[in-house]
Amino acid sequence: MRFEEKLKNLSQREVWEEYCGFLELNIDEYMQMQTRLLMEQIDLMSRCALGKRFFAEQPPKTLEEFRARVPLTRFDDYADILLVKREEALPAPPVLWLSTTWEGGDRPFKCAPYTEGMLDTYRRNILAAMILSTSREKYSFRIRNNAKVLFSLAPLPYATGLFPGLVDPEIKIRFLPPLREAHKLSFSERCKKGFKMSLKSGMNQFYGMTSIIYNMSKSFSFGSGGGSASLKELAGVSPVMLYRLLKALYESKRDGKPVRPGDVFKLDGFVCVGTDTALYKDELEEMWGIRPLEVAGGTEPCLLGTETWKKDGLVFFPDNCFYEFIPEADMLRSIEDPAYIPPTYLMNELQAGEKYELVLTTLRGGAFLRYRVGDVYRCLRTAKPADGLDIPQFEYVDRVPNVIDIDGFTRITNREIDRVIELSGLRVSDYLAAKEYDADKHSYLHMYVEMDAQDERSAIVEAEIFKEHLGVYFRYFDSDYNDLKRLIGVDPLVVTMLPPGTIRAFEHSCGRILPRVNPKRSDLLDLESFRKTARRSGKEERP
Amino acid sequence: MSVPSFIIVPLLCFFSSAFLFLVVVASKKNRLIVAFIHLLFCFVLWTGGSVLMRLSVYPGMEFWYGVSATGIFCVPFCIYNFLYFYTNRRGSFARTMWFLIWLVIVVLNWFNVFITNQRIELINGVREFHYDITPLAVIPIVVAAATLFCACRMVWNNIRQDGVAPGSFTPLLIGVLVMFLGLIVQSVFHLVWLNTDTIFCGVNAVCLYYALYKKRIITLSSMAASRPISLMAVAFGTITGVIVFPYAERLYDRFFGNYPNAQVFVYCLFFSVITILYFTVLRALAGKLFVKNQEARERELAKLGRTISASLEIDTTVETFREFLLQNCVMERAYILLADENKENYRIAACTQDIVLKNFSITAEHPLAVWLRSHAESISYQAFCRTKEYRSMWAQERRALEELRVDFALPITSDGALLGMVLFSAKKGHVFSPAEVSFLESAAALVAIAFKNASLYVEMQNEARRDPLTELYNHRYFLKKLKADFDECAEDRLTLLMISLDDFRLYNELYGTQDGDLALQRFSRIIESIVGERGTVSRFAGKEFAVSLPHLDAVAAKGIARECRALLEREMSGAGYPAIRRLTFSAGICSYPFSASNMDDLLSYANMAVYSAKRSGKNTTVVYSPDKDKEITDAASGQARELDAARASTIYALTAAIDAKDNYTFRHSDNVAHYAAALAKEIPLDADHVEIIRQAGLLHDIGKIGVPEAILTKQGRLTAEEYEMMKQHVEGSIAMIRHLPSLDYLIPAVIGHHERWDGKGYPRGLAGEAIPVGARCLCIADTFDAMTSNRPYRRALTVETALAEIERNLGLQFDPQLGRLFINLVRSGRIQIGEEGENKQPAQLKEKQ
Repeated sequence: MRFEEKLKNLSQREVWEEYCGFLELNIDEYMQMQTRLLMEQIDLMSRCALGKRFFAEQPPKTLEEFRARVPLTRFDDYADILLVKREEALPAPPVLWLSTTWEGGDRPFKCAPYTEGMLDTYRRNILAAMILSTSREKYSFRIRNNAKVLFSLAPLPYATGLFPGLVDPEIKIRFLPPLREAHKLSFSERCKKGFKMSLKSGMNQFYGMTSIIYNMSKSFSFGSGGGSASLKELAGVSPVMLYRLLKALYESKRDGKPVRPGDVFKLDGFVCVGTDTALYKDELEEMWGIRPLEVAGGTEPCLLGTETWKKDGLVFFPDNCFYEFIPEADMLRSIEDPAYIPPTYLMNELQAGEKYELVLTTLRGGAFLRYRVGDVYRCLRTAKPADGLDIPQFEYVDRVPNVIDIDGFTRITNREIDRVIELSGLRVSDYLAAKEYDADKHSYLHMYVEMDAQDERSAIVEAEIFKEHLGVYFRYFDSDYNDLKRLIGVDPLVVTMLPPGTIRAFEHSCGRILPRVNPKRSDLLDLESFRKTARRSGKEERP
Repeated sequence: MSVPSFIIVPLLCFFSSAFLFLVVVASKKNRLIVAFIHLLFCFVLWTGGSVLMRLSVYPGMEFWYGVSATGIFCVPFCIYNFLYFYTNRRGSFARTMWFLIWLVIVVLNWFNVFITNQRIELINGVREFHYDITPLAVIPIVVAAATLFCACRMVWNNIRQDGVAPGSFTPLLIGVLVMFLGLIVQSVFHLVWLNTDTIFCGVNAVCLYYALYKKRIITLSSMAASRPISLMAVAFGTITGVIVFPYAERLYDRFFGNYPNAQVFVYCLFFSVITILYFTVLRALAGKLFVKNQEARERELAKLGRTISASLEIDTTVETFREFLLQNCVMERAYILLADENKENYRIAACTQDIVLKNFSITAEHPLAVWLRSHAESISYQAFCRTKEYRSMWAQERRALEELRVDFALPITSDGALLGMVLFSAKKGHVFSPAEVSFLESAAALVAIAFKNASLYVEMQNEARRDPLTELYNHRYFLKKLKADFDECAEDRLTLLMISLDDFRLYNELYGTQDGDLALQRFSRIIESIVGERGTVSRFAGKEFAVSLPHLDAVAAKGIARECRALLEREMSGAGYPAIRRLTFSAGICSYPFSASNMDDLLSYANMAVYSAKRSGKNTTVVYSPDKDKEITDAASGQARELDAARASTIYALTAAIDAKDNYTFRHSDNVAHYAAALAKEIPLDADHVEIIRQAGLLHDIGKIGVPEAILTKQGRLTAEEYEMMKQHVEGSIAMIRHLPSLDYLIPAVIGHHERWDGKGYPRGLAGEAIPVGARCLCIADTFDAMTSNRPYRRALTVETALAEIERNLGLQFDPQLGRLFINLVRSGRIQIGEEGENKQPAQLKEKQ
């Protein structure tokens, strides 16, 4: 039975229980399901070359053995098989491959195989997210047949690009723009066209990257005059939308307030994906009149989790991946000391309020075992009895500290920065790079740069020039970085020039070496005051 | 319009509405059913009033019009009321308001406020019903629209807010729409000849009934209840009476005009018969339509219950259930899966078709098993795919169920335990109806009881068959099993492996009985794990284990014994014990048909082999062979010789003691040993067995040490009392040998040497082949030597006389076969009398080893 038929022939509760029934699992049942599916994955892995690489001669027989014997992995451990798509070495035949940026990797992209079982799970889970996005209370939701959906998530080969193809056979949905047309457009064209269409015909659901939605919402206006619509723009608008637009414009003029998206659109469901979603959610709710539902995922883990009908914390799907968690302190120690093997904890061993780095094992024949995907989550609570939840809820914090994620588009490590500096030909002697936020809550890359004291140009290179120069090479080197500028209109690079030797001198004064990427905020503030003090005391020297 | 076409349509609609009304009245009621009854009652008024109005039945057309119109005007509120309960609404303000409004409208209608001038006109010979509408008629139309709008809103809210499946309202919507379509058609097109309003009213009633049936609120079987059938018969009879009455009256006047007083009686009789006929026909019809299947199912269930309760065998129950499913289920095939002993797996026990996937099984943790166990109700595979349990299915588990084309799963549960399940593969396009599901669940409940009883029986049987300490089969069951194996292997091979732990009494004394028990348990697991499916393991006696190995030879048995020895050694030196402990075993092997011809021989010879192994220094395996010397797998032969030397000197000492006490039986023991051994050798028995018989011969009268010398040397006949005392020497012998553990293997031969073939001997009264072969040899040898020796009370008989005496007692005192062999041996000179026996010295025993 297709999803559409289920909506017609089954009660809402039955549909809910099928797709969102996992929310009613208690933690023991959740762990039982996780363990059972992990055992299937071990069984599949034990029969393939990739699995034998980690299992040696004997596959683990228990969960404890699995955690004790299988090492924590990174993409480098799979690169030789996955990058050349050696399907015969995988636990199950993939039906498609998805790829994403390989931050800090040997190649620009990393890729992940998707099996039929994984896609089935993805389909079921994305429909669960769809139900929850339109839900205000348990067992109650509203999904219209033939709903108009504005889809502004990253297209294939990113994992979010699978959504339309998976959902389309299940329920009649009018994507804005239609799928056939959308395939021919670039991502930015698609977003713009979809939004224009939604203004004319209305929309029932909105799926988008948080930073893009936020940007669209902030610049939302109908009519070039910030509230006055031209006749040309009104042509082709449906009567309902025309009524809403005119009403919104009238009320805008009457109250002297700008038109907000929520005045024009009455969304049933609103889904956000992206790293900084937590920052924007309240504001988006105010602008759209509906609280967005955050979902989390990625290319390797597929669709990890969704918020509940209360939209107040992520719950991880029990059948998507097997989850382990590295506490923040151990994560930081392992960054400083790569030889350190951090301990992991299971879903039923977490503490509320703590931050954890996620370690996952993909299920249903996926390729990753105890894989450090590089995302950090905070465990908000281990249960929420008021909602009948007995499983932990999370909040996405950020990427791991040695990766700088800008608006969910690009991920930058010291490796990318070194490469860009090398390409630029600028003689940078030392630098620090940190993720910071502007007044509009947009994240950006802040580089504190020291030029080589021996370089003649160092005296004349100003921060702006340096930024322009480096920005060119960042855009050249990283296409996602380039999209930031095009789609959000954000220039994500800010440069502060430091006199040569400042970083070393600071490190000397505080007696420790700072990480070049994402040092602590307090260290950056101390560095700034150290620089000012040095300048005042005349110790600052420029070559 | 002819009379029939004028009334036939409303009459049929009336019948259908009335019938449904009576059916629902007869069924179990709740608020929703009561609301439905009200609605059906309105339909009855509507259609019934229309019929009687058209017939202008007393009290007149106006009255029946009023009745019919009342029915029509009540319908909108009754539909609202029905949907109010159907959608589980709360708050009665709107309902009360609509009730009062419609009450007023109905009352006003009786005063012709909305419709006037109702009449039946004869136009062109056709009777037609006509009426005029007043401008006020718009009021009930508007109110009806508003009422139905509110009803639709309730439905909408029920779908939107309560999440009820829109599909469940489809029959209701169709019914109501059809009814109002009929009203519109009737009022717009004035189809006086068709009466679309009453037709569609009947259709609506059926649709509503179907909606309730689909919701499992009403069953079809209630249509065949006696009360509605009786009432329908009365209704039909009355209508028939009304129609037929004028003709009947004329007929009576014409033919029976002379009997006016009997007219009423004849009419009553006639219409009673008609009503009874109606009742009979209707009941048969309803039974055929609605109850036949149910009754048949009930009969089948009763039959199933009777059949399965008659057996306590699981296999029989499974087969009965399989037959039941085959005969009573519409399906492609069904697989009956039963839990194994440990309840860890559910394996296919039977299939309704020959295609049985023996390897298919479902683990207890399988999500389907988990669901069936926790819910204890059947489920379609499609519905199971919607459960949260389904999420944890492995891909291969999904594939396996899909390959079996499982459409429906029926649990067999009892007291929360899932005893088994039935997986159905449905016929294409067939969906199990609620009635079928209920039928199958009832059958499963019966079968669950039968399985539980059978399981308890098996459990009890197992308990009776098992040794409580080691959980191996006990002696009694093993003998049964060995017999069964023997019968099965009549044309093949069967090997018996007997294992006896060495010095186990000492082990118990050293480490305590508790550790001894533990050692027995561990050793049992070792043998079980090694033998596996190849044979049956039992704890034959305290420290003895027996293994029946059908279709295997002695070499395989030796291999098993070797593996057991290695594992036992590892076990005793492994973890679990503070220090290395020595525990070994001696094993004896005998194979059918190579070394034994029957089951008793097999047992006896295997035991002999064990004794032989013990005597050879223990911790070894001996294969019994009648033709060649014993085969020792790993014995230390030097040690064996030493032990035998020690035993030989014991035997010599004891023999010397009895010889010293009884001069007349001087060398008797020696002679008996010689004759018996010679006979045993010729049977032929294996060398070890022959030696055992010889030693038993030497010691067979050792008990005479306890018999007073006066009796032993008495010259006259013994008194009965003395004879009884003399008979005690057998027990005396056993009592003495028992105290010599190294010679205990002689006991079977010694204890039976005074048994008789006809069962009249002593001490146990054994008969035939139940007497150990060694004892039978001793019996012949003992008697022969006694007869050919001088005794205090008589002189020696001649050899021929003695042989003749033996021959005379063949089949009475002696084994006929052995006796005849002995006679032949003596006569042919292969047994030499006197010489060898007299020269025989116990010391020579050493040389035989």
